[in-house]
Amino acid sequence: MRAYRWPLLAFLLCACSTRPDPLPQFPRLVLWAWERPERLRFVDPHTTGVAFLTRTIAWRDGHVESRPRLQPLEVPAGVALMAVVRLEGTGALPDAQALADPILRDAARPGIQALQIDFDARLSERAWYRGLLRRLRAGLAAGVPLSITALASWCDGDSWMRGLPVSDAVPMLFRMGAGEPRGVTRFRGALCQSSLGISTDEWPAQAPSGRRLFVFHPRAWDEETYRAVLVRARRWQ
Amino acid sequence: MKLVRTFLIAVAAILLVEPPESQSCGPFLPEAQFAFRLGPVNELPYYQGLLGIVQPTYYRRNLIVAYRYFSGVPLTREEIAALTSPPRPVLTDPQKWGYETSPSAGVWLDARNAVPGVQRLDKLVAERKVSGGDSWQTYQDCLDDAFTTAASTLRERTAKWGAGSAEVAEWVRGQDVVFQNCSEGVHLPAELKPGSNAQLAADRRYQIAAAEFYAEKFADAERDFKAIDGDEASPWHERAPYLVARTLIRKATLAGDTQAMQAAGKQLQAIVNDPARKALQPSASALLDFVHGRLDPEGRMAELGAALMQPRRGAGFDRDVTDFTVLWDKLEHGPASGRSEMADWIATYQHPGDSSRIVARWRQTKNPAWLVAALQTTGPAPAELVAAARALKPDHPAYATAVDSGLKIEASRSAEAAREWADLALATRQPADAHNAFLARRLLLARDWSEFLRYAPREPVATTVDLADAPLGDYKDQVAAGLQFAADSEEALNYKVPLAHWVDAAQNPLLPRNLQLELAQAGWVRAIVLSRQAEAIALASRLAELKPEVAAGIREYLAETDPAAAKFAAILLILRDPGFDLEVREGWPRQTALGQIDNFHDNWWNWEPGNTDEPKPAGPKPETPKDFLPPAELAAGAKEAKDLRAAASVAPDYLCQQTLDWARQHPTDPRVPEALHLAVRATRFGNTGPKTTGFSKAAFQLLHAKYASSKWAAQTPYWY
Repeated sequence: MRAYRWPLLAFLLCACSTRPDPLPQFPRLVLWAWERPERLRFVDPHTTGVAFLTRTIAWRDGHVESRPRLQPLEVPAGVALMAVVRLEGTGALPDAQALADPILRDAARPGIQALQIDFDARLSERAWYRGLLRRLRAGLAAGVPLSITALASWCDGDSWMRGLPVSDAVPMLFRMGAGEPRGVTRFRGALCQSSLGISTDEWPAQAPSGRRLFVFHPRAWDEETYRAVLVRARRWQ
Repeated sequence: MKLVRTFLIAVAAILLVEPPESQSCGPFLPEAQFAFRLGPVNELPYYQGLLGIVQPTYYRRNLIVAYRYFSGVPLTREEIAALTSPPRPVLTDPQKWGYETSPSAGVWLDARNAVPGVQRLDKLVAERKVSGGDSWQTYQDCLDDAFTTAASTLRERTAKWGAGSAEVAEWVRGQDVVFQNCSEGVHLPAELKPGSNAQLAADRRYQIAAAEFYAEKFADAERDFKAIDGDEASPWHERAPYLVARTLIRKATLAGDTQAMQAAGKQLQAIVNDPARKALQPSASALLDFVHGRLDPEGRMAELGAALMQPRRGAGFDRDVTDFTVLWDKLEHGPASGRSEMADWIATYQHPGDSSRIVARWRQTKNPAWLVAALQTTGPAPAELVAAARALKPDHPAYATAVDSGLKIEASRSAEAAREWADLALATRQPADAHNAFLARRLLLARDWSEFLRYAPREPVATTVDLADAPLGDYKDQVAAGLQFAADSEEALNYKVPLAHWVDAAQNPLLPRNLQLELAQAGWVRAIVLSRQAEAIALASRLAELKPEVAAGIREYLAETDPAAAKFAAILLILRDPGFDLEVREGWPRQTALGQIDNFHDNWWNWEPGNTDEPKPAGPKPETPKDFLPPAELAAGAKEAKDLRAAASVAPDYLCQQTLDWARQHPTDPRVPEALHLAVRATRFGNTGPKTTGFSKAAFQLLHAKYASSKWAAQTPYWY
């Protein structure tokens, strides 16, 4: 017994310890800046990061369109920046490697500290998505975390995300569809333990606390809304 | 020692390994729509004048069309074709050159790669970062026409000089350098040596100016295009003045330079006024419109408002519609009133304000557009408005919209008159969304139960997936389901109609068979929860007729003579079939088969309110009829709904409680282990509440404590 005691205790201590922050470069509040003119000079880089839509890749009936950001984005010096790529489409899935190339180029631009993929993968698209994420992880620099947005249901008991090569999954508690779990105070998915995605027009009454908040605003951000979000965000941090 | 070691390893494993997790749920469930919100999903009939109900929430593009028809100016065949024209034909395999090369750029790559001896290119990106400041923004620097023009010019030069000629090779070399600027940097083609082929030299001067344009060297580009304008021998001489204007516009849009935009306007106006520049005039005129839109958006909107009211045979209608709506979106407070009648109407229709002003406008113009706007307002409506709406013929484009609003007003004055009017409207031939709207108006005026049933079913006209309206074409299974309940009848049935009427409705031929089934199924569960045995037996018998798949289970239930035993048989049946619900629902029913777990958590029911402290984008609570049942019966229905909520608002909790009660009283019943297993399953896959885990644990513990050796205990490794 004596021979096992210390290794086992150390093992248990490791198992019980707090998970490391998957996005250590980012403050506890991150604003999503979508495809609209976003002038975010008022953001405090010490408390707030920016995750901006840098590319939208859409496919339909076999045709793929990869559209870079066409709208201005202004941020203060020193703000932590995450490049977000939105994927959406119907029908045949595109070649994942060809899709990965422009995304990796976006992520390699100076100043980008993390990459986030926003894709509501259907059941039939999950294997393809897993493959794409593997390619992206392999192509990203070692110090650049890969994050994904996640349907709340993926984090509430769906096992498909297990083993994905991502650092963080952000459960989105807004624009939820029928059957999505509401009133969740704890997410079971291992990747869903650090962040939370919410919207200024659909602020949930109840959600897990102590997480990094990604906040969406359905219009262009303004300073007043940002200040209000700072105050409300303290409820969970 | 060995035991301690095993224990510690087990604890470590438990800490590191998560338990298996439940199946997924997702947001991709199509929902039935009985009216359109942003516009009809099948646009052609609408553009042809079958407008149905023109909703104030429609996109302005659709309101422009409605205004034309309301005003007695139908769209011409050419205008309809312009609005419905398919996308431009794809010039090449869209994926041939990867996802970042546009099809037009692919046309150029095809052409230049076919030139013998030219090194192959596999990619051409047309977007360039906006220079200065934070370079997170891009724009399409090289437009599609640039690539197609280059490809056609190459064909001409090849025909003239020969595919393998040094001139063609040099020409391609220069053009490659031009397009290098599309995505980054400053790259200029080399000047040609004196004595080179004269046309090649002229082309090269044009290539250099184009490269300067794409590289954002606007002063140089303007100078060089002007020089080409002065060189009458250049094949680009005709086009050069137009390119000077484009250079000024590009400079203005990238740098916010108003003076450059004004200069571009002058340049374009000169082209439009010059009879010698006829070939350039259509392009110059279109670009001039763009410049006006930038310099004076209000004025341009007024121009467009007037132009859009003129029926035309030529092209351009779709472009003007787009310009009108885009300019509107760019104006922070919308267009100023009084400059465009169409813009005034759209603004009023979307946000009606002072009703007297709108009524005055209608009186003044007698335009049905202003009639429907006046009927939409909430203020007291003069009787003449309703009379005018009644006077519209059923084939008038404004008929459905005016009647729908008019019925609402008429109902507040005389229910009888409104009923008569609604019945007349229902007898006319109208688009499905309008028919649904008339049914809804008539339902509110229902005088008895039969009228309620007659006017409740509706035809879905669109589906909602991910918050957007979509055509029904992709949802054949749902369409085949037939007529459905809308929000008004759903609300009335679930919260006002007493159980006795559910028994009647489940076999009433006024309802289609699919809705009878829904009522039989949900009514039976309600009767079970409320312990109303007579109704439960009647509804169970009807359910077995309508749904033979459940007949065997229903027979077991009907065979029980003891009420308590019958109730447990019913609970077991409900536990086995997650499709059982105690309410009917708006739109399409649950899509998963009755006996199967739905992967989207659509299993059993949950009446608990949702979890947000801010309003979701949803409509107000539907208005329901008031006089279709006597007050005492409505009160009885409301009490039943209240009792149901008190007893069984969260299905997994209720089903667990009922199972636990029976199991404790009848521990030797051989069905109990299965029931306990199914109860735990319901807490996993059902819509749960804050107390569910307690119920789950209690059922789990009883199963494992009393029936540990049963196969059901083995199939139940966790509680939830």
